[in-house]
Amino acid sequence: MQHQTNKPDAPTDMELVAAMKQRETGALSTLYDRHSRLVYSLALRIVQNSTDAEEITQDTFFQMWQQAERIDQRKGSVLAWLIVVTRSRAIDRLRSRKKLKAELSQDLLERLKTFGAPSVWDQVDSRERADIVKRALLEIPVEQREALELAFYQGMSQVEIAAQLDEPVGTVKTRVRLGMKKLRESLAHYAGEYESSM
Amino acid sequence: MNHQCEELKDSYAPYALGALTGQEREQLEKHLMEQCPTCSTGVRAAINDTLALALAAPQQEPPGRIKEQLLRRVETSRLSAREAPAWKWLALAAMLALVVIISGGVRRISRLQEQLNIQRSANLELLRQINAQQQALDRQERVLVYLRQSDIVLIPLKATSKDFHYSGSAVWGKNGLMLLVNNLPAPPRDKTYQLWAITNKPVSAGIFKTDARGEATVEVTSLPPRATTKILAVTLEPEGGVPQPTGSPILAGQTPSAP
Repeated sequence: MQHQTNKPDAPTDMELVAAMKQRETGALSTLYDRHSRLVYSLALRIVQNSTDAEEITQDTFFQMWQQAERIDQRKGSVLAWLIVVTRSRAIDRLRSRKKLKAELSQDLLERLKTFGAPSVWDQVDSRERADIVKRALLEIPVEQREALELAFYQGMSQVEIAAQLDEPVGTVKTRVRLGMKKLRESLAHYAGEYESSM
Repeated sequence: MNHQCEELKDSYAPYALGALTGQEREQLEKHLMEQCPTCSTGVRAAINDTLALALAAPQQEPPGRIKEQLLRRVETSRLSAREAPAWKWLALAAMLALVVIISGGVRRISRLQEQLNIQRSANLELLRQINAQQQALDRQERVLVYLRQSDIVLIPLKATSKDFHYSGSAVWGKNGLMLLVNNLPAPPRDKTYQLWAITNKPVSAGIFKTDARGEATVEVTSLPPRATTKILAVTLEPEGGVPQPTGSPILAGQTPSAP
């Protein structure tokens, strides 16, 4: 998900990360202006608490500043990195609040490091992306969407989701699998529709 | 796609979501470590789909203060790295204390990073440790903000009983006080720790709890004047705190200005 700006002369995210490696705070400021809305909104959606969401937003961008050297385009885009770190921090906060062992949230970061790569809708303008995802999600049957949201926003395992919904684990597994399949198809469809309209 | 890949493909999506547990997760991870191109591609695609879910969160503008605080924090960290501060020995002493307080630090992260390269199979556990160290560094950054105040004192707090090994430090400057506590067990469910600034009587400086590692970092801005405070003390009190201490101090330290 390499972020592209609408302005042709504007630096790309990776160019700004390169400037951050040279300790240019202006680059951090630009990246913050570009992505803080998404980071804050995601944190708020997960922790449901504005104070925690503010801390997570600040900590995420500070971590990006400290670890700019480790952000590598081959292993995923800057926006993907921000999403993974924000989700990881927010779910850790959520689990710590619930006194559960924070175990899963770091995993996705590791998986991104290993497998992260551009997706089919990378080049879609950022302003359109949220709309595309929302439209794609609306096409997923509500019980499948619910399972995906509990996993993504609450950090729940399939077993935990089954307990929460009082459904058999097998049913939850099917919902997750079909929900993600439908999400992918819809994302590809809407991203393609967007591209063909350009 | 071989037989095993066929069996594992239903695990791609829950794995990408972090919703796969136990034997199923271990089985997929073991297979991925064997560099299976089919499953790596499948998991990669699932991760990208998963990340898209982030964009479905209702969009809200973050408050402007976050950016201001972030840039101030960055500036503080830059100055700390660059300057030999004018408030020299005291900050140095405080920093040395912090090195002890925040056991670990950057060297340990580097060491863990090296181990990660060698020991891929143990990577998740090590990453969890790095995360803990990152939190420790975040804590250090917060303390550094206090240390950069022009007029600070460092007050060591010791356990009042030799049978216990918990300890603490307070950094007290003109903008407030930061208390750091170590090895103090989390309080019982219906209890809390309470900090007191003792002048001619105890004045509550707030309540706090320690985390699973027995640590707490507490910022206090409402305090009696430092010059009239003789002792800082911590007691165990009922949940929510009390106007006057009901228990004996478990941690205490004299302020430098105290006679």
